[in-house]
Amino acid sequence: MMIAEYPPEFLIGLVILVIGTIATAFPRPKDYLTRLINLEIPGWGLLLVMLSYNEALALFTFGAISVLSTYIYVRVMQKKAGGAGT
Amino acid sequence: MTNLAGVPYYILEFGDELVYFTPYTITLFLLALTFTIFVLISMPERQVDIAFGGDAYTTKVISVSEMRFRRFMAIACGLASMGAMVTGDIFNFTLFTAMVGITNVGIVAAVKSPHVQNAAYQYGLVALSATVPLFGGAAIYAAATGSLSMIELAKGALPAVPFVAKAFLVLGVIGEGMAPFYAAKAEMFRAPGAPYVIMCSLSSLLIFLRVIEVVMLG
Amino acid sequence: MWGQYSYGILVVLVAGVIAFFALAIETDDLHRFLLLDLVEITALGVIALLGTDLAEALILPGLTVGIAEQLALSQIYCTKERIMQNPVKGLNIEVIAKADAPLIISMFLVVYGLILSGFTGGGVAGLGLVFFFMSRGYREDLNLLEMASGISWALWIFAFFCFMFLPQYWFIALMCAAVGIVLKVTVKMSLVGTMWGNGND
Repeated sequence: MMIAEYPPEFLIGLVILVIGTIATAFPRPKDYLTRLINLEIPGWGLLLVMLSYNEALALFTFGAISVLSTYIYVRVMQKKAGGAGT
Repeated sequence: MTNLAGVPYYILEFGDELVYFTPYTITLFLLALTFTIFVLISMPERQVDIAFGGDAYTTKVISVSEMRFRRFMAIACGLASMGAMVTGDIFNFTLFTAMVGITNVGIVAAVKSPHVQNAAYQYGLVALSATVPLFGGAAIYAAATGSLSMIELAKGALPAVPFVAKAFLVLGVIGEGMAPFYAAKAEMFRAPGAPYVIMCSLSSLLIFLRVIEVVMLG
Repeated sequence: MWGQYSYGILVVLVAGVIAFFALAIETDDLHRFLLLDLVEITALGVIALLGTDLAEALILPGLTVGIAEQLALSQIYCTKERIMQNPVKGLNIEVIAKADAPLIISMFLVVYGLILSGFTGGGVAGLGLVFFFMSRGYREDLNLLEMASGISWALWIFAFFCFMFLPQYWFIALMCAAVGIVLKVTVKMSLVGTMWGNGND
């Protein structure tokens, strides 16, 4: 693989995407909050990949939608814990 | 492969996204349209209770206003199927298929039975993970040939579509509502509320018929 | 025969296989729901690797469909587990509830979203409003908001028909479309914020 051809943010983004996927797929300790926090890592890698291709609109929209989806998950997790949340 | 489904009668242009009517797509479109009109004008079924030990039965009439949300979701599912039948763009087809998955979950969402709700949740999980090969297949189509339009792909002037892309598209539609992933959907049908619930089965059948034509075009 | 795809697609497909494998061996429903977001990120990765402008046009509807399915599944999950009536506590952190900082941050986001316009601008502006409603616990008249959202969406559709059949009036159609989509997405996302603030729908 010719590493010199690709811009550095593309390679770093791919590496973070794979590491984040492994971290989310097999979290330690295995509870909901850990998995939710680990979900940010592959998201960050995907943002770096989008940055390397100058896809600015997709980047912003993915960031906004990712926040919304975190709200949804936290709401479900709080309801499951019986309302004893933050 | 030229003219798999017959010569197009009419092509409606929305910019470069085409809606095209061939004998095949018109047939499927009319089937979806007829069933959507049935859903629109029919009354909900009466629920029958049988008295044990005899032949007597009682029927309970359910008014339309109770079933309003379910009827709306069934009509939306019918509209999405109609759109998927005549579209000429691969990405439009995948978006309509995803919309059919969401409205199917909506049709049975208001039923109080825990078995049906559990089946609806499992079906929602499978449908959402089926959108991954759908969108991936459409993206590979765009990367390999540079075009997402079915008319351009059928002309044969573009590079060939890799087999993986077609396999992803068919895998996505199978995940949406064909065997072996059909098990959760079949359990969802046990919900009371015909004729709205039958729209689930019809929509996935029509989409499968259309995707066979789509992958044999390119 | 892969055209413009780089070796990145192999890496993303490997990540996708790992995510699906974890989804297959998982048994708890809420864990499966969380893993769906991971699977969706790898799907977006495949589309983003196209690298052309077409990739952006394909990512935005994919994100919309994904968030709609997540909303629907979260409601089904809460109904299935019969935990719908559990209260959801708002943030009772003092600096958010009483100070001026959330107001200023929300205003920055709303103004930037309006300038950016389009679907992305609506998303950013809606995010500012969601943050504001979440921090103050605001109660809003939902019917009026829904009506405004519906009318602005109809304006957007009308602008598209204007593009197709009356292309000489393209500028006014462009302005109508931008304003319509910004209002629609902003209102829809701020409705999610009020859902959080009250604790029940």
